Amino acid sequence: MKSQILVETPSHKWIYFGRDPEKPDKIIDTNQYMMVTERKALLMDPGGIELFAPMLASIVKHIPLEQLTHLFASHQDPDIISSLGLWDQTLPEAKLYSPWIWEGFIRHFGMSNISYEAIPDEGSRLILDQAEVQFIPAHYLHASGNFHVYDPATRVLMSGDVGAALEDANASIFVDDFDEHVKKMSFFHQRWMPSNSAKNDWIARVRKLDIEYMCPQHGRIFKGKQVGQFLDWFEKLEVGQAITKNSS
Amino acid sequence: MSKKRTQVSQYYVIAAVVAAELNHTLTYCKQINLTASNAQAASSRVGNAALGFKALTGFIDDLACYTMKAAKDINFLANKASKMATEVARAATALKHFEKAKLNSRNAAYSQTILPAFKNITDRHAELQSAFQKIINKMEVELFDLKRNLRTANILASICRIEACRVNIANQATFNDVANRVDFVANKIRQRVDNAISLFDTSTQSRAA
Repeated sequence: MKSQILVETPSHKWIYFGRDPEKPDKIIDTNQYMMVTERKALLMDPGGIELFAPMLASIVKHIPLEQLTHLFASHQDPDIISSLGLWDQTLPEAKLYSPWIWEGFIRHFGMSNISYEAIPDEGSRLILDQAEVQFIPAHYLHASGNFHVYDPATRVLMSGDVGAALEDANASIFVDDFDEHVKKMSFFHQRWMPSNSAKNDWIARVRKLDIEYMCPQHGRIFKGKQVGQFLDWFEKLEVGQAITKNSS
Repeated sequence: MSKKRTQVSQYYVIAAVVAAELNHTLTYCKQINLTASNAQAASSRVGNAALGFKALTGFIDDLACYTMKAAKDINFLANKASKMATEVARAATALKHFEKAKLNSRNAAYSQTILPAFKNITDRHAELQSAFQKIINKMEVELFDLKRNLRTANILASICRIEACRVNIANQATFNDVANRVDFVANKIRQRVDNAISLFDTSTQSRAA
């Protein structure tokens, strides 16, 4: 699995994980992100069961395992958090931050040690050493309870399925040509995002944030002005309407 | 380790099937109870000539109660084994993924920090497997005990037939019917118990293979 430092400040850094060459063919490629502070670390959308071993092996390239103290699951999907049962046996003292509405569902993945820290609908904050992140509501994008993670210091927004694209396993991790990239995003957003009003509500919220890196869970990372380009494109896109004719 | 995993997944199924087989047994036990009650009522009607038979109905009732308790106990063990098999399978999966991570991280800066968690999971897996095996062994022993005790049913049925000869012809049919029902239901239970035992035999054979 590839990993690389995205951004670093004196107090903390963000690390990207993904593009695992050993990933079984039929499972969707996912990006994982980890914010590392002086003594702690927050792993965001840790991934599915199949990704557990490569993730664990990659994490200890950057930090000792005991430094991984916090997990975050943007929503309840298997590609987000089905590895929980394994993390539960690995990090029994860890805390999992996730939408309150999914607690009873996520626990089906097996969770007897880790503590579930329910995020209320309006969002919340988490302080790790000198760093603070905000859990930004992204409900119905696509799950009915959904959060993104914003770090004002590094100006990183971990945007879950928003900005996702279906890519080759060896694709670059950054968007290079935005217009070309749109082709890989349109169907995903039209099909997986169910609500135009939820989408516009999220865009209005996110426009108020100062974002340098927008990091989706699939596909490529948007940098600088590409973030604004994405928000403009997404605002115009009609979602919740991409059911193919032969499947109806 | 893969052989052990196969064994656990077989026991997974065995535990569920044993529970189902013994559930049927409970229904049969209720039938024996009912037969014993009817027989007791019939023997009271007949009077002194059926005193020996009346005593027998107590034994029939006892046998039904014993069988029911044994079936419930084994059923409890089967359910416990089934749940534990899930935990064993989970621990085995964790171990498999951990072994992979350990191998892949051998050159990582902090690869050693995986080891305490790896040891915990290895220990837990061994502990669970040992506890699971104990339950399976206990279940097997209790099934054999139940089968042995069911032989009493045939003896009771035979004595019932002998006692039937001591009453008048009009009541003989009732008492013979009780004997037949005890035989019939006991055979049904034995079949279920044999089915359950044969599952363990199959598992042992496939383990040996």
